[in-house]
Amino acid sequence: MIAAMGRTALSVYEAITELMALVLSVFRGLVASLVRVRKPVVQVLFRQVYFTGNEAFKVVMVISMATGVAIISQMSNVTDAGRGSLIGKVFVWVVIREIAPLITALVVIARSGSAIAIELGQMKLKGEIEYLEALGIPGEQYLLMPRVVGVGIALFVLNAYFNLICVLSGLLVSWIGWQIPLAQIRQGIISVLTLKELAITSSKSLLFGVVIAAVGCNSGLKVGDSITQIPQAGTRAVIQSLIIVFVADVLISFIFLF
Amino acid sequence: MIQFANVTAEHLDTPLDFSIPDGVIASLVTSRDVEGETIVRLLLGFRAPISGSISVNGLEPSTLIDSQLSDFRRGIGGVYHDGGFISNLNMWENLILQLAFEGGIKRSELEERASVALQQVGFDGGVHNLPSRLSIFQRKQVAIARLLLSSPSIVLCQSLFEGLSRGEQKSIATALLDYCRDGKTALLLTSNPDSLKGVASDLTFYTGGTLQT
Repeated sequence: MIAAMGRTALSVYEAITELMALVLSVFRGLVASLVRVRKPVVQVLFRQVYFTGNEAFKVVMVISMATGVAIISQMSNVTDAGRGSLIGKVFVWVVIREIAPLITALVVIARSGSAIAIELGQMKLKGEIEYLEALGIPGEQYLLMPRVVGVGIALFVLNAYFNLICVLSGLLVSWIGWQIPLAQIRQGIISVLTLKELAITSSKSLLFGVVIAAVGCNSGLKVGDSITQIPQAGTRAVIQSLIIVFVADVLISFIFLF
Repeated sequence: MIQFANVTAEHLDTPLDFSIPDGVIASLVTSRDVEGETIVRLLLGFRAPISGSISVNGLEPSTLIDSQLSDFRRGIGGVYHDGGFISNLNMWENLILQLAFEGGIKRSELEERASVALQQVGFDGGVHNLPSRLSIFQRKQVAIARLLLSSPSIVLCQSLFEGLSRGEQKSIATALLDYCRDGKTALLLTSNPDSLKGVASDLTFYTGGTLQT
């Protein structure tokens, strides 16, 4: 029992150390890219933002509208006179602070986290990462940095869209369906929406993006000589990302609480 | 100058001890493909030898730090068994990738130079196709065109003539010979000495050390 716990602790420690080393190499790649902008690196960055952000937008839009309507439906049971104001506050505390960064992260984990792991795994298996580095192009600068930064940017933007669409759809449904005065909801939102709330949601989305891409890259780069390791890398990336994102969500919420 | 002094490494059957002077095209027949791949990795600094030393133009690859390795590797070109391309970039993007990354050259000039290089090697395939859509011959043509663009002083060729028809072998050999004419060094690695027959007679091969022709 104790030995098993020790092994688990060691594997968690190893995973965290590997991830930190990868993020550090991404940071080095970022600094190198800022010192000297290289066109192929910028192209990879834009492609990553496009594939992660633009192509996930429709999914995020549907989920955010459904979330907004679902919250309003539940809140309609509240019969207090000031329920409009309460709905506004719930949007900020629940949607903007918690649900938006988490749900957008889940969408990106499912779409891009596993895709990055599989893509890099295939490149590793085919020797393409060595081909690239044989040209004098550092992998951390061309492969890792644009993916990590690109997913971070894409998740930040997706999170902003999620918040906007969720709140707007909620407002619309509450106004049409339950005739709740929009001014009340707006007042509720304004009363609790501070810079701190925006900092929480933004920092969560950025951090989740970086973590998801870093975990995906790390899983992909661990692929060895067997093709069966590629789907395993995809699955590992999804599971690890889920665990880290949920733990990080709690930690960030606590940090901002105090 | 490429120098191996009693080099042992994983996947090498016997210790390697040879040197290739500048401006020579040499062939090394290995017992297995993986041995050739290992030699390439050792030369490019992806792997360190267990014992012995390797010197490439006076530098020992395994002792270089990351930033030095990138500069070092830019001086070594490669034509690998499958061409050596990134599968999700089309052939044109693959061709210009190295120079575009290095920068300092106008896009129009780069495109012109790349087009000339493709003409020089006689490439007539679809340049905007992914590598997997092209034949092994066309991929090797583009790999040599990439050498023409980046102009490395040392070229490593892995299974260069394998999987090609006799005519294609001659065409690739001519393109490589043209490239190496002004004093470039090339090392041809193969586990199939038959693939060098006929084609190899056109080239000057180094016969010293344990190298074979």
